[in-house]
Amino acid sequence: MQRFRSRLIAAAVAMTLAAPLMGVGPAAAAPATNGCKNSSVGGAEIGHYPAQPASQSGLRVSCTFKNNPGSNIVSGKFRIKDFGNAQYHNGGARTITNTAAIASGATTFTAANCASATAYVNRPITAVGVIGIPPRTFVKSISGACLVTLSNPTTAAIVASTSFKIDNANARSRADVATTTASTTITSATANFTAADVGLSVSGTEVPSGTTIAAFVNVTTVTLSAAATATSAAATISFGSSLLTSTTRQANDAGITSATVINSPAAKWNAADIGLKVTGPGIPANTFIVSFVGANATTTGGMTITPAPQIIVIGDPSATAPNSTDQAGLQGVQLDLSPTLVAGSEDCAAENAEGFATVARWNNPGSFTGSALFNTQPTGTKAIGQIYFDTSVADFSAFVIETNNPFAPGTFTYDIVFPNAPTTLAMCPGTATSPGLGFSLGVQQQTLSVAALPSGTGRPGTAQLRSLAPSATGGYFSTATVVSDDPLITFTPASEFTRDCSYPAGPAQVNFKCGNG
Amino acid sequence: MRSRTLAGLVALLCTGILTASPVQAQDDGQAPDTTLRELPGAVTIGNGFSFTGAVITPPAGENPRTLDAYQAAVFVQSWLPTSIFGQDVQKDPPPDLPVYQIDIMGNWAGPVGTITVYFATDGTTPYVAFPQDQAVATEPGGPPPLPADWFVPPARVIDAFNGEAELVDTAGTQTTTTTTSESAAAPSDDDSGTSLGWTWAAVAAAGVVLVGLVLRWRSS
Repeated sequence: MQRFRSRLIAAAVAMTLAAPLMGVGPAAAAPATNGCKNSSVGGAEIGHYPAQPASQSGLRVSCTFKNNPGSNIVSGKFRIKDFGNAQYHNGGARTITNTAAIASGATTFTAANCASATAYVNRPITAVGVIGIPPRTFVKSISGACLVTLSNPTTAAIVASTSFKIDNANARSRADVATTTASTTITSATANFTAADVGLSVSGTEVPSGTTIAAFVNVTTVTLSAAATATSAAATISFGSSLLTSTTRQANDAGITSATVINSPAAKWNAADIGLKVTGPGIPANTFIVSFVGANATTTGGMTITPAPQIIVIGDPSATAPNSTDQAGLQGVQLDLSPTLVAGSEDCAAENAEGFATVARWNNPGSFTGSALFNTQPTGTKAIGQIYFDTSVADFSAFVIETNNPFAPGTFTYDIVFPNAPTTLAMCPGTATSPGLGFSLGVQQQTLSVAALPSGTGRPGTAQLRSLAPSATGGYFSTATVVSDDPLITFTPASEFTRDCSYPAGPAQVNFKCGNG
Repeated sequence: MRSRTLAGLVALLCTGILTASPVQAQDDGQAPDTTLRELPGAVTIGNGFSFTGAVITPPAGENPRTLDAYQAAVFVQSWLPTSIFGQDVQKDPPPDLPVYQIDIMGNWAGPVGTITVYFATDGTTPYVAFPQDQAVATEPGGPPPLPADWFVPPARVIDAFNGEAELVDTAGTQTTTTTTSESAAAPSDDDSGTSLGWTWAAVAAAGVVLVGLVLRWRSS
């Protein structure tokens, strides 16, 4: 009872003290400003660099959010809707192992399991960290008996049960391509051209930007859409480096509807998924995608009926995917923490923000981690990566959510989604002069493990975390925004959280066109 | 319980008055986070977390005890921020300390269910284990995670463990609408009033309520 009395007295005193201050108190420091534009908030930005098309490009987002009563827009649930021409690592892989040792100089070996992969033709194969498979090697065919035929002989003996990654696309590169100035015909003794190569992009110093394969002539010869600009007897040319296919991903809406069928609208099944492994509850080891119709994928079978929503992982990370735990970026945050909840923080009355920096790590699908509190992938989505912020104990995450672009079939858009960033748990209560929240995230264009890959590893054009799509004109107009996913909070004014990037057509310019702005 | 209810009511009135001031009436579309209303009686701490209670299981032989919604919220609030923002806090407890298992029920920013943590103390230093590799248990009966990821939170966790601490005002509690008189101790960001006239009307109303409460308390 004594406790009740003291609280009543305290409340009455608080009311008495508060009343004269309401609306008539002197103004203290100006509140923070909302936004991600340096015209409003010094140094704020939504931008990327380099901004030129078809380049690897890092993303930088720096915004402030007010924490003032009546205009508080601090949200733990928000997303960065990346520029429309941004692409994150693309592609998935099928992992196979060899049943027996492979001699040096061999061009074939037997795989332990080739279920649903016998149609694989002209797909890059890599044994990461293992000597013996030379760069630019691809699988020419896989027989029904699981005999794998390689484009290049092995350069060293390979022990049994070595893991190989086969990409889920027929993009590849060769270093023996003969080009002739002003001619659209090119030849390669080893490219193993097929009719399926028509339409693939062709890139190299001997061909102009935007060139594609126009026609299949024979296994060593194709015709290009544009004439070569240089003559070479052994040019290094990539075929299909701009190809977009399905990427190893985690979908969280799956249901196992029969022994052979998985239903997952979020997975957005793709022809390139055929032959990829799928894992999840009710799915036995060594289950592979055989076909799909709409949201239903047929597998090699043996599954247990399991109601949705389940988490499934489709495919293995490709050879050029960032390694899980690679550093993928940095996050910096300023917020005013309560010293009662976080020791060492300055008193809330001082209204001084504390500053933090956190390394962002990349995790591939199948390696997502962290407690459910701050690390739950948004429902009904496919995530191609987890950006994991390693704190003292309770880590938190953002997810790279891939969405099929309805305006450009065959392409994707990407959101970096924070399902629950710990923004308000310990933040001092807002006052009219609270400093607000400062948030800055930089996403790298490449990670250390990818940068260390030998040239010619895996599928050409995929050795990056983030890049920009090619442009036929050299220019583009693209927009990125930061939006709240809390239905009750709106980042406003929207214009302050939106960045339009207009990059001029023509030859690439050396500038910071879509950077700080 | 009664005292907390009354105190919460008073606090709510004070908060309503404060947020109705003209200076703070610059609403731009933001409203309180009401996404947690799905759990009746839950007490929120912000960031989507609200709690309905907890069960504390002693190491052996003793009967479990419970924390109510408010106490559970205070307990989680007392250590969770340090697990994120704390510097150099990871530390295992001495092996001879008794370890209590705490199963906390609530809405964990979406999933509704139970998260298990562990607590130990020598009377001065508290230790909390927050196993990171656990999902929210949505059905009872499953095996709890083993103690892992120990750290040293602020000393007030000891009071919170004993059900004797108070919820700390934060931006999270400030912007969250709760559903019980207990949880109403968290300041509301309600912007329903925008005029100075409303403010003074609220002051008068609060005064009347206060007087009534005091009189009722004295007569009981």
